[in-house]
Amino acid sequence: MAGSDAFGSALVSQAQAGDERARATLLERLEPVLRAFFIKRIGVRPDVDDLIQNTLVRVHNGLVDLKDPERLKAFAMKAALFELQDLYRGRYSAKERLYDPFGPPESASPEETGGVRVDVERALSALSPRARRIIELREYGYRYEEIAQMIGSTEAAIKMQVKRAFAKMRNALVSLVAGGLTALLLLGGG
Amino acid sequence: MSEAFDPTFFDDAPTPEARRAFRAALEADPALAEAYARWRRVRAAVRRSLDERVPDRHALVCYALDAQGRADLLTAAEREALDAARPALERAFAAHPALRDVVRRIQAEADDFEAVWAAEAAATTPRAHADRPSRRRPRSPAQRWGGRIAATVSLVLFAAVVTVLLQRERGMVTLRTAEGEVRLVEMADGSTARLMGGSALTYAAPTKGKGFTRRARLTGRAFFDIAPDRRPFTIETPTALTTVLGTTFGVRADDAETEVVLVTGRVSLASRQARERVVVLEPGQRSRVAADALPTPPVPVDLAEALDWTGLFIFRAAPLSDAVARLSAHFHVPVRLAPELAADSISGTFGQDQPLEEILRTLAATLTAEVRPAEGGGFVLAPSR
Repeated sequence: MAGSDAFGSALVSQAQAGDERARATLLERLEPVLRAFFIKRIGVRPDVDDLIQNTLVRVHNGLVDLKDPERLKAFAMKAALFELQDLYRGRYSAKERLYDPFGPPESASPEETGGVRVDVERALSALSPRARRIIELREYGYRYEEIAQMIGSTEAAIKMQVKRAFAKMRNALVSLVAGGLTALLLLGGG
Repeated sequence: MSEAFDPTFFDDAPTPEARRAFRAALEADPALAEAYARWRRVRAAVRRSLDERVPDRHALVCYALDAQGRADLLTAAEREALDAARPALERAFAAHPALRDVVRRIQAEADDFEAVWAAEAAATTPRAHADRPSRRRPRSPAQRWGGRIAATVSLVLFAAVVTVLLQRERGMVTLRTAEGEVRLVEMADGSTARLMGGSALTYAAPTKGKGFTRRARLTGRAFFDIAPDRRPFTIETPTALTTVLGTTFGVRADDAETEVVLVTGRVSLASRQARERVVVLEPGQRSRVAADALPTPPVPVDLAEALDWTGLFIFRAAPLSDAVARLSAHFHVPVRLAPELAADSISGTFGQDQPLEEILRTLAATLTAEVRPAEGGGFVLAPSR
């Protein structure tokens, strides 16, 4: 493997043994690999520097526990994949508050919805499987362009689908009201 | 349905104009506003359900690798944790089918990592070897480590920082504040620290033609605004290392505990003793590191309250009503908010020694609003006429 030259087990072992120069060399060589990887996954964005930094921190901190120096690649890969997951999870929490015209998002906790818990399954069942998939991926933390890649579509088509999902859920709500069903509460919580 | 908001409403980052248009559409159509509010609740509930069903996304990564035939990449502990998590993950897949897409994406990410590793490692190796001898600076006896400094260097986080640390203590300056004194420290890279009373900050003095050492040592309390840079900035405290790129955050530290509250950006926090565990803070979160303990899991906090000791009002995407209530209580002056602005959020940092009216006028400017004297005293914040 190509990586065995740059990240040979001798270098890893030296770094694990406390050789600061070896450790510095190791992290220095990892940096461009991580940069190329993260840019490939999320594009050239400010988040890339954070992802690299945090992944290097993970590698640095976990190096001492790495039992087999040959497994550095696996270790670095998992660290990078973990970081991406953390990025997705944290992505909308702050931004949405800034972008949302209605201010901070609802927490949907029973306490804050007047004691009525939103019935997710019921609300989502009003949607087509594809629309449901999009909404779930969106709430998982993916951008629309990423969702488009994931389900083989275009960003514009995804947004259109979300627009239709909104209209469908809205109409479903109206029909429930017309029918006098208390299920309205399950959809809207209030 | 109104067409005014449709295309931009679902953008990842709508423009201010799009937001205004959407808000106007909602105000003009109460039924639409109601439907939108419910839509948001459903979305928030989906998010909460995902968080509850997949509390540890790292387990999902392990699941994806295992399902891809890459179980050999997992450690024994990870395999054990995955086996324990598997039933819950299967239930999560049933409840949220899109999690299968997430698994496929993780697997694609793993494929990409393999490809990039092979290509980049091969491309960079010869150059790295060739460059190394000429790039390293000779170490003078004065730069060698001894005693306490050697203990610190073992905790260094990054390669770039390792080199920089060799010059530590030379060219460093220490600023101490008296009780009740507040000093604004400007560092050579543009970063600032608002150093509170009874604190000490050691940082690199400006040097001619040399890179600024992105490192500081704090005892006491300071609010940092770190200038963005590729090189990480590390704050050492008696119990922790806080590493950032460009961000704003507050640190309170004594020999027993370090508390970090993050306002913007991202921060990595590690105990000085237990290097294997790093906690990453998101904006609006707090973590603490006690001596000989791991960082506590980040918890969300009210920034204005948690950072009140900074002598600043710090609002980040804060409901305008909360911000106004806080200002009103602090200055003991009634401030009324027009109903049209009740749903707005604001971000901003103000000194607590600034006049109230000045702060309100700044807020108003960002909201296309104005400040008017209220009958009977105080102020009214209302949309511009």
